[in-house]
Amino acid sequence: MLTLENISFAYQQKAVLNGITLRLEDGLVHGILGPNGSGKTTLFNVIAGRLQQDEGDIRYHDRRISTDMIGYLETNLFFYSLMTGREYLELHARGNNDFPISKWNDIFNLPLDHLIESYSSGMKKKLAIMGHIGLDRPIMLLDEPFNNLDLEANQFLAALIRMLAKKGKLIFLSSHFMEVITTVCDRVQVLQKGTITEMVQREEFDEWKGQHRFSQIEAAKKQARKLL
Amino acid sequence: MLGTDRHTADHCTQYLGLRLRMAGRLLSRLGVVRCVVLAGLLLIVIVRLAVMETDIAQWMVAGLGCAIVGSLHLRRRDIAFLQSLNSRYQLFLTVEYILISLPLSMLLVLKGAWEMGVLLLVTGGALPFLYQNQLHHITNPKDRRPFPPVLIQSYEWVAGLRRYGIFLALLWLLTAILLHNHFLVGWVGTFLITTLIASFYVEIEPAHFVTLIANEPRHFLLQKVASGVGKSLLLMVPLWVGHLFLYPDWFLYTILFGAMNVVLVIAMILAKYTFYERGADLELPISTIFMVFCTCFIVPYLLAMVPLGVIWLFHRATKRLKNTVYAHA
Repeated sequence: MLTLENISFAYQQKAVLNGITLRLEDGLVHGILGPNGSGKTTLFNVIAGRLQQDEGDIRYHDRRISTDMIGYLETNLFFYSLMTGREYLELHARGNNDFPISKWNDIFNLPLDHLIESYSSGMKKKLAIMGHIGLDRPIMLLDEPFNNLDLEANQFLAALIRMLAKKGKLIFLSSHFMEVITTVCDRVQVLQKGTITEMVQREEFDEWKGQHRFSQIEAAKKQARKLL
Repeated sequence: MLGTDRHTADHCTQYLGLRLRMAGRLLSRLGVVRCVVLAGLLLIVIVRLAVMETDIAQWMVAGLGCAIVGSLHLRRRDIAFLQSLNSRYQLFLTVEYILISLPLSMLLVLKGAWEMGVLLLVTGGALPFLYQNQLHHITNPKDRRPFPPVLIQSYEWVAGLRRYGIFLALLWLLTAILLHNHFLVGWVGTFLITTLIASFYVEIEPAHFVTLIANEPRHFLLQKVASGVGKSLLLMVPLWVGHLFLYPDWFLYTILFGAMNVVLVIAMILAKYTFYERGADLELPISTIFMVFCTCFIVPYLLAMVPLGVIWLFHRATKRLKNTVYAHA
């Protein structure tokens, strides 16, 4: 279990994360939903050790968390432009004998011997996802994993995430989109202005989606009608 | 524990092998002619430094080594990527920097300055642990500080100071403090500051930033050069004045060295716009031009190339801006 205890982070005295407490279980897909600027990426950066929290503690199975436990798929991916896709995967899958690159590539169908600079943004995303499977870390943080992917790849990724969770991985992903997140996740946390306001279980999704649609979208539509 | 060490060592070897392959690809992309010209220039510099008998050569080699490793480390964008691959990623960088510093260290040892050689290796090896640029100075917004409004107008200086401000301030202070110890300290310090300033100009701004400043390329370039040189002088003039005051016998050389630094800044500004292209990575072309100009300064019979080089860059930059920016504005 990944435990976040009272995590706070401020940027130039402005609080971005406000005493966040979460308990995330292995073998489940956890989602975090929130509007732009609500602090989702900051929370991921704190968990991944990219940012140091001002307060609070993060533990995995009662041990202090280390970067070796985490695979973090960021929104802005980094690649060496003069590296081939195969080299990228080999670097990620070092020491992981259960990752046959060519068999995985039969699914993703990428030109692995070409330089990454020739890849489209969707291909880069697919490569990064493969790399993270090769990394084989117990915790997978996926920040907006469905961005830049076509419909088919999106559907496959959703299924893949569920399979990885079944294998025992702890998956924590973020999205702006309620439909996407309720399809993939077992539990959803709602982040608003740096605070977790709600925690919704899979069986409550339908009711919650209805309420959310009414309260947020209808209010926004009303406001827009007035302004137009 | 041993298993983990073995895994890290294997991972490090794999990473270094990959870097080597990428360097090979870079050279093949540069082409045979450019590689031969650059290798020739490098050879001239090494031979020149190897035959010099004075202390200056040792300082120059050490300064060059620090500049190469320091600028490489400061320019890195892959720290977070490497951290995600292996928590002991600093070891990768340490080995890489030691390997890069090794030829210059060997040169220093061959010249009898073994202390400086070892110091260069240690500096390279320790750098990843001393300064984690991306994790703490770029990604962490808490470390970003506001800047005096006088610098806001220059896109490169705002971005550059955000990234390397602390480093620049430290370098400036160290040079100022140690200036009285040896006349070469001022020169080496100024050169390293110029190297850092040159690295500011690797970032590409959007085309509308260019057209906002001036309506035509020549006017824009002159304004950019004036602004860049002005800001560099603000940093460097106090050091030169201190140097002239402490070492009046070296008056002429100090003036010439100062002029060389100014010309380097001008050349880097012009080089940026010579290769200006939206989304382009200017690191390689700018560092190549920087090395070429440095070589021309070190080798006396290549000095005549400097003004010609500046004129050529100005001409090419004007043409590039005309075609890529102003033609579409």
